[in-house]
Amino acid sequence: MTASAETLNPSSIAPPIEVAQRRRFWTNWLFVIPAMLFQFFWGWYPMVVAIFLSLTNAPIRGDLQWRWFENYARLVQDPLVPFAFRVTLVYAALSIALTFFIPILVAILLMEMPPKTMRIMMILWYLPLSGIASTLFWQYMYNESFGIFQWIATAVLGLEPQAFLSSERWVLFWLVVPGILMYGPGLYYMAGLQSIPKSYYEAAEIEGAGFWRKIWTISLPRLRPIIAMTLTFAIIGSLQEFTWMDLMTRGGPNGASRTVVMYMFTLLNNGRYGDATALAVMLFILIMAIVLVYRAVFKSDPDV
Amino acid sequence: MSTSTRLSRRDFLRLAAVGAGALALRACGVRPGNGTPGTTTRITLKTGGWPIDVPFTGEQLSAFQKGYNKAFQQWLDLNPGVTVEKIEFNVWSADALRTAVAGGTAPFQYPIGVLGGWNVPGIQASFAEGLFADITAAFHNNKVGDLLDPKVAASTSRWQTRDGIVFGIPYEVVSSEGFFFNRAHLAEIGMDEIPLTWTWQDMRELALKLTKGERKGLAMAAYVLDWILPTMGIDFDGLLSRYPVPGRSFNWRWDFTTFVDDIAEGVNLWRTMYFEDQSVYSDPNFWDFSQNGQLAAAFYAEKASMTPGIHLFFSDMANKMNKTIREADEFMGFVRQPLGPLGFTYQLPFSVSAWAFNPDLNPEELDKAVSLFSYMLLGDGFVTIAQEIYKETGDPSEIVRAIRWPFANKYSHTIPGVPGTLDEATGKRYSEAINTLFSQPKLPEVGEYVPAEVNRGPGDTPWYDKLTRWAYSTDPFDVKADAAELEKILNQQAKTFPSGVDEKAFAEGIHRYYQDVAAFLQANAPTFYEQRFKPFYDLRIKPEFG
Repeated sequence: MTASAETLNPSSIAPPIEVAQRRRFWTNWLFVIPAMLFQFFWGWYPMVVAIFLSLTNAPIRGDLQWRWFENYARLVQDPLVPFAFRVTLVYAALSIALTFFIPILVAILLMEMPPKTMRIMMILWYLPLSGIASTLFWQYMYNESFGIFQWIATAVLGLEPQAFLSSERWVLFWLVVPGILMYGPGLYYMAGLQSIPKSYYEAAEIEGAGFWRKIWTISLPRLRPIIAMTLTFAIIGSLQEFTWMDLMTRGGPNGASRTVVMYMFTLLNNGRYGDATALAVMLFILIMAIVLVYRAVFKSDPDV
Repeated sequence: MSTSTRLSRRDFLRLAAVGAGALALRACGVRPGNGTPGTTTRITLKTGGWPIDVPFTGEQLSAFQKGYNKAFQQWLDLNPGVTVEKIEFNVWSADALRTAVAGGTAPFQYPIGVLGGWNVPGIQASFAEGLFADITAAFHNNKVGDLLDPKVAASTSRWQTRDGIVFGIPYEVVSSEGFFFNRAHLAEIGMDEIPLTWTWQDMRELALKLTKGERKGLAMAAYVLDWILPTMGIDFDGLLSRYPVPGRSFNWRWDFTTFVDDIAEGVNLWRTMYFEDQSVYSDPNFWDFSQNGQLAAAFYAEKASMTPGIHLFFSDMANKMNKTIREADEFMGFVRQPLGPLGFTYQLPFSVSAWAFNPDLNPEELDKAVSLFSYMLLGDGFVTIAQEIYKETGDPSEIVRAIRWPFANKYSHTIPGVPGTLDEATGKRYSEAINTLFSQPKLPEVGEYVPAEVNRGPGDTPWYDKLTRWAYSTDPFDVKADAAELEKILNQQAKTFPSGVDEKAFAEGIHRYYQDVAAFLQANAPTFYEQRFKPFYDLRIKPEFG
């Protein structure tokens, strides 16, 4: 048998189909298993344990005792719990309204600019900053005695001194404002917009479409998968907000910026693990419900 | 390339499986090839590095570090077979510590207050929950009681149960919260010292007088409102705002409406100082209570004449300002919080800060842990460190700079081998003020009278919500409506908590507690007793407890 004949005979070099399939099966699992283990230990396992603990006294040490729905009943009767849910929902709504949609508009407008200007604007807009550094920065900006916002309000605009973070009515708004400038998911939109073929816009222009018409019928529909994904993350993230409030206001004044996760943290600090996990489960159910409703209503496929 | 060296997919799968297995074994703590552990009984104590650390290394050690190393080696020589290992752990983080104690990875020693909330009921509850080891045997075996200052030894509620079970060792004495003041600024207005009997109204007037140009009379944060109101008996656990109701689920209820006019008066005082007098350096973002924050920085820079603190800050403040202890004594003084308008203070003259031990240690390990801790901080090791500092510097005040004075041990006044007294070394005026403060009569603490309640009940979140509103909010609010709402929230929460304490023991303890409080107030704050405590007692205590 010649070498060329060997290469032409697949059965002499390739394993039987069953063996190949078995190998592929195990190879596939090998790549999937680490991700599954990670998801199991850092996702599903804590979730199941949290649900389990929420039905017990959850002691730090000592015997576990079933409490069934006692922790939930206590939370339902606690006036601070509905208040924290209200703060969380208002914050999430404000956050999504102000920090989610504005970056879409900004991204579209940036794409209309000359390339050089666009690059400079992108650097300014998406300048990566450390979370803690920005928090400190914003704390000083909002400082009622010597912050720049107060200076603008009083010296430039001639207004009365403003309360900013110490106003119960406005604290959530002022907490959302930095997100407009710094945390928008704009880069995703820019990437999405750049992936739209120019021929779409050229064809639309030939048909006589104007600026807004192109945005409405081409840009926004083509961005829909990205919007769907980032909106899901935005909903989940804003309903779980903790760090920003904790560093900026500690939930004050008068609990006006205390989110559900912050109250959960307070319960943990008070040694009330059962109550804290029950509250976590309640928040989980709320988030799941909102995301499911949103996914049912919002279609991510631009061609549907 | 030879085909024999090529890694086939099957080989790769095998190697991956072996690697994963090794990693899993490693994660489970199994070390291949280690074999069976030896039979030598060796003890390893793991420390977070404070206050017990491993010996210091480096070329230029401070006098304290040299003394520490010497004392540490002395203890190791006396205790062969024991090693101390340093682990990366922040014992001041409640979350980290709670997790570590739950998971069995905590260091051998940690501060009691971090898990106990720095108050007697919380500390006692934490012990009942099993967060601190029972060290009674080790405590007595190492004769720790003999090493303590008599006043500290008698003040047991933060490290012993009512039944005498020991769960901690006193480490420091902590003064009541108060204010450091700038002596030169005080002299400008013709004052030398601030008397212990000063009131909040006195403080307001003083702050006004001390305010000069850019300088404010006082640096303070919203928590100071939480100092003003308790001197009127109003607090989350205030004398007049919380009352016992045994037998109705959780044993306590709240009343913020009976004396709501006092709340309005206290809030008004703070807001007048903050918004109108302009005598306070403050901001809603200021929360720190330390020698390192914005308030203290304003004091160091002489932008504020007074700043809140506790006496423990003194040495660190001297270091921050690059002053010797004596220079610091010349620069600043310390006074406890002002009294309430009726002469009452809820503040103890001092409290004991104690350290607990890991409940996972076995009796032998606990014995060594207690031995090391007490040797280095209270006994011979402490003396060695102090002597070394003196030997190195020739200045007893350097001992005070390195170790915060007064100490929990019996060496606060004299140390063998060190000439003179520590009082002189600390600075005459400062040491006199502290000694006077520490000898003030002590208000009874309820945790010393009633059994520990594992179920801690409602937290203080609603109280602090109202405080933040009353302190800084520029939105309109009604103190009376807020007080009623606060009362309603806490009482509604309280109803949902069960109680685990013996009702009879609780009632008996409560009876004794209020009797002792009444006697204390009659002797030390008679106006407050007549005008506030007696009406409260008749309304809330007498009907239930006689």
